[in-house]
Amino acid sequence: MALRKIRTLGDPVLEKVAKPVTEVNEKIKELAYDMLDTMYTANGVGLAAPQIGVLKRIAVIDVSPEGNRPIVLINPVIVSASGSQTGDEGCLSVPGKAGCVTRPNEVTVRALNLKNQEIEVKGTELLARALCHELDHLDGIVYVEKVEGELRDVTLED
Amino acid sequence: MDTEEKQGMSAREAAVKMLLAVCKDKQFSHVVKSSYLDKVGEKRERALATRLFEGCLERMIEIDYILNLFSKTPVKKMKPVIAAILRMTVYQLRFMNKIPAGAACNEAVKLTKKYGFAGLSGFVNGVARNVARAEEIPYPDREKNETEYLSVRYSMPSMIVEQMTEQYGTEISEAMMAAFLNTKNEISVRCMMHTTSVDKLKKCLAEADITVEDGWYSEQALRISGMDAPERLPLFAEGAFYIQDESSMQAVLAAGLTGGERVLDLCAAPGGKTIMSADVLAEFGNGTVDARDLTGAKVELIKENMKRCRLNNVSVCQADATVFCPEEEEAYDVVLADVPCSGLGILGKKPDIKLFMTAEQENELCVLQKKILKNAARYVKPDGVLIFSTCTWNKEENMGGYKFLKETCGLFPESLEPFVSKKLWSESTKDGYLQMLPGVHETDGFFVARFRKKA
Repeated sequence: MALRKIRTLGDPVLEKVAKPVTEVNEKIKELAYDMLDTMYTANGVGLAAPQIGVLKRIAVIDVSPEGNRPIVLINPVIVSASGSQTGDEGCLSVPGKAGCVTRPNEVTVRALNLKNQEIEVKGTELLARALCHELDHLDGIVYVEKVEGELRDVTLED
Repeated sequence: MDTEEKQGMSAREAAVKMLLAVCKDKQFSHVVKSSYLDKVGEKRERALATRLFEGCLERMIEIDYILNLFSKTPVKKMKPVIAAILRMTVYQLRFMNKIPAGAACNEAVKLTKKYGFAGLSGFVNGVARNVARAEEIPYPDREKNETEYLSVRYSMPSMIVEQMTEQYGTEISEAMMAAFLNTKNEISVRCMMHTTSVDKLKKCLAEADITVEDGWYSEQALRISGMDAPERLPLFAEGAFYIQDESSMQAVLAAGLTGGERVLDLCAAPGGKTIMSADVLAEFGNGTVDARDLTGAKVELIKENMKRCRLNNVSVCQADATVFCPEEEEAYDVVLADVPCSGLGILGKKPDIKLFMTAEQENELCVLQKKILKNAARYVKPDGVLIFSTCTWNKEENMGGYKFLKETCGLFPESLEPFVSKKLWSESTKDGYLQMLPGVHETDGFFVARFRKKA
């Protein structure tokens, strides 16, 4: 396992549409574990493969306070979304900033797990927000495009 | 300071001290071992101290029987130090062929003097030399008293012999008791599937000059031998494998995890089943394990193991399994209830258990088990799965718990056959439970039952 370098805003890779994973193999498994390690080390709640410069449709998420509820999603798609929530969002690729974004309050995502089996993940509130945010990355969308109002500076204490 | 002190304690002295700690102060053998063995200087002496200590615990009943044949003072009436010295000496004389009888006797006399019982050195010398001279020791007559014969022959307390033969018959009981004494120098380990593969691990172990064989009942298991401390291998520190008997692996296999589950391991320490479940779930990329245990020390032990195995899908906290936690009612897809038990299935690994087990203790355990099982059942989601397991063969505990869950907890047993190796199938596996027995199976004595909660 290894930590990967997180790409930041301005890196063209963040604007590209990622390609579907064609085969869930050992390499993909290793990539997913690297992404989890990288996410936890950076104190993030989600990370998409393009953020470490890999244009593959893989995202990892863990919104638990203790950081022990990882979710790995391969080729994820949103199959349903409802409600809405408006609140602050941040991104490991946009360090030191935050902005207000409106997202659905409940989403259901269908994806593959690391054993190439189809799974469904339902999320509300923070998990719904994280799912939408990470899936946007796979389509080359960074949340700053969706910010309502200004992108603010945030300090570590926030 | 004399040379002996500089080099640390001698093997025989350490063995005597450890025996005293267990027999007189009722400490656990593994605790005693970790606190005394470090004081023994040389590696060879350490190995001898371990052998003497564990051997004496394992053969205590037979040793005492022999001593009582040759000593006018029965072992029970001896001073604890003298009893420990003589037990250790008889072990050397009757169960080790490499130690000359004269050396064993002389060392016994020296230790007796060293402990300030110079007046008893003649007695110790006399008993030791009589045992050394005896060519054959007569066992109790099997025809006349089978229980006593089995008890001495296999160093098993009569109470346990009676319980075992009543529950399993003489033939199986004898095979089991022989297996407890005949523990192979073989350790069962499980490959950490989310970070490595069985083939890779096999290769690495072989490169480290360790004899590796496939597991008997699981593809993820390996049997390793030719080394005494696998914990010292770099591969262990890297979390490529961990030590777990194959019987205990069956408990997790029986859960039939398919990824994404929320698992609760109620009595988790030292964490074998938690690690295995978390590893299986990490392979899917989804699903989490909550591990609980009673004491802070045990919780720390589990956390340490998680860290080494690089698992980030486990949450560990301290909790008393007998106290119901309402927030967690019907919160888990799978609950693992590996309840505290008599441990009669692991006498090969922890021989001191047999020396101190009482009928009252067994009864108290049955009550405690039901308390925990009742809570465990309530944590399972409707349609979720509960795995009940123990490391004993005692039917009062195992079938008692099985009936309790089936009859009073809203659960129904489910066949284990889709989940465990065909080699383990029996008449009972269809009814959702499996009793593994040493001497019958290549494992510890272990019980696993699978239940589903009514939807």
